[in-house]
Amino acid sequence: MDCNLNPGCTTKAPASHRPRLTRRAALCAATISASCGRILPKGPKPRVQIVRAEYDQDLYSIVRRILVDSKLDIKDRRVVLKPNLVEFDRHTAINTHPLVVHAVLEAVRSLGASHVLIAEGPGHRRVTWDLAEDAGYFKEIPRFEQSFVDLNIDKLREVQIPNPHSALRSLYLPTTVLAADLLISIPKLKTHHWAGTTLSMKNLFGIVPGGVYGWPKNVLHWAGIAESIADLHKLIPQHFCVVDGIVGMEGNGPIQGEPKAAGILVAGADMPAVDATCCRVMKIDPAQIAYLQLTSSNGQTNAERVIQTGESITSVAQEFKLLPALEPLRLRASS
Amino acid sequence: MPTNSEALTHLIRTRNRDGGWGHGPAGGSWTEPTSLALLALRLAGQGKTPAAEGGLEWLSKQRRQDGGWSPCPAVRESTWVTALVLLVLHRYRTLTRQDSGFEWLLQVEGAESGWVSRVRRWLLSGNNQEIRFQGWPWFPGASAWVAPTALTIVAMQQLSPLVPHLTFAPRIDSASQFLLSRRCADGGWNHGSSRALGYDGSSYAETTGLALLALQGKSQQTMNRSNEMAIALLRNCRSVEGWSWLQMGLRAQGVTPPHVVPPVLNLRDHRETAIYLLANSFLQGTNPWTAT
Repeated sequence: MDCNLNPGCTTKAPASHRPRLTRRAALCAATISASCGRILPKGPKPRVQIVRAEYDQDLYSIVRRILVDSKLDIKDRRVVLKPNLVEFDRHTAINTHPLVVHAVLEAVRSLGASHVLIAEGPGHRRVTWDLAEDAGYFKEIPRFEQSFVDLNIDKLREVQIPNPHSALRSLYLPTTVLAADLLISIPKLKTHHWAGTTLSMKNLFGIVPGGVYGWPKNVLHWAGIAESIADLHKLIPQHFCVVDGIVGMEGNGPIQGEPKAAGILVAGADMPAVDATCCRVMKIDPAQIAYLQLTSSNGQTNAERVIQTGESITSVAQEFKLLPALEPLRLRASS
Repeated sequence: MPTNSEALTHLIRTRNRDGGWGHGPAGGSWTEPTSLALLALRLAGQGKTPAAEGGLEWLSKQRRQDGGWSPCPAVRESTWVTALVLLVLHRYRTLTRQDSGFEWLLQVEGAESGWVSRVRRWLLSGNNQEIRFQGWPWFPGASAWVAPTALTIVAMQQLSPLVPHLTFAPRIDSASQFLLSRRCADGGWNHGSSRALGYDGSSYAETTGLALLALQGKSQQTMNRSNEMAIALLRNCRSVEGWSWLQMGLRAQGVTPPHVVPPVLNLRDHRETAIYLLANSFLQGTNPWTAT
């Protein structure tokens, strides 16, 4: 049995299995390209910050500065922090580090949020609390139990998807997320064997309730991974991202890869722009990541359309290893 | 660590006003924790109490027109939980041979084993043998996976004598083959993706226990390395749920596991509490899935 996770897969991981553009994605990307290929679209440029950081630094101050610099309107808002909790393995870089989550939690509180929750719905394991405990969340985040919601079994509401990219017409989603004024996606900087990369947007799979769709949330695979990511992005319009790239993962991510120290946090309010920047940091071509092309309505995955602050991409970029089947995603010098 | 009696009392006390159980004390009722709580209550001799009657009534109200059950009232689709509910109703002797849930179970299969998918797979790879077995999906229209398939096998095995006119045996056999085809290289099971892009997946405690439970009766030769893996997983188990399924799976295989103290039961999740109580019933000599 080989690669039996993905409905479209065959035994030898062919080109069709790579996270490159599907026909639907290609059509959409072509439309975008036609409209913005040579003449870049107008409109406000998204801002993406790259900040050097280590786990033993004062992450709270670093994150607070990021949020203040971003002019994020948090006062009196209900905020949900969405880390990436995947698997039992505290010694690798699978899960978002609890110190980063704690720093965001305290920074958001200090900026006047009325209510802050940490929420996650792991995609493969049902034992969410045990994963959190093993990943150090109870130890590092005071009163974690009072702040956490398992999105896999939260109260639900069915939400229609306007003009869906995927085959889905609606999704049941947790009310904790739907009631939030702002969702802060706090993923790990990782490669992903189906989607190419898993960053702030792929992290949105974790808001889809396993209690309905199962472990894995395979309905999303059948509807199209890239297209489902794009739909989720559409359904959660108020978001911000802080990507934990202090130690990321390369190779066979998102679970079996190797830790890769990049020593950065990447943040911004525009998810496609943040993820495209992360791709460049990992020396992966964002133009080859289907979900980024689907969601780049304003050309924001184009480096020229991003206001880059903090560290330059060049100064922090490192080649993240890719599985051989994913090598076509590599950022070329001309890209 | 709460005693079994304390865990049971907690379960009874924290049921919802509508008669069902949620996952946690503050949540609305869901089908799966309600079903598992009812199984645990009955095993503890509490099958005729107001708590059990309330739970059964809640379940009966949740039945959908197609004969199945959804995971919770907010969801409009019947899913794999139908198998679990039918088993509960059977145990409480409120199930008839004509129940429409049986047909629902038989008509559902993983989308990958449908003919369109098989032709597509054959055209792409020249080989569709690995998806010819019929398991059950978590949600209609998706692929089959280990946990829903294992629990549906367990339910069907128990329901089979009630409905001899229905052909459960071929589905049970095909689903068992499905489980064996999804076994990881290490001998255990994860969610159902044993290998991806040339890399072997690692098995999980909870799904390994579930698969062993469903594959009860398979030859020792077939199951030996899985039992060994289950013991290895048990020794390093970090969840009550994983510990509980491994206990039940190994004992269903006729293996007495080594003594491993379970992680602390926090009574946080009613489903987990009920599974723990079922496992403890097995430790005391009663197979909770076959006990009539």
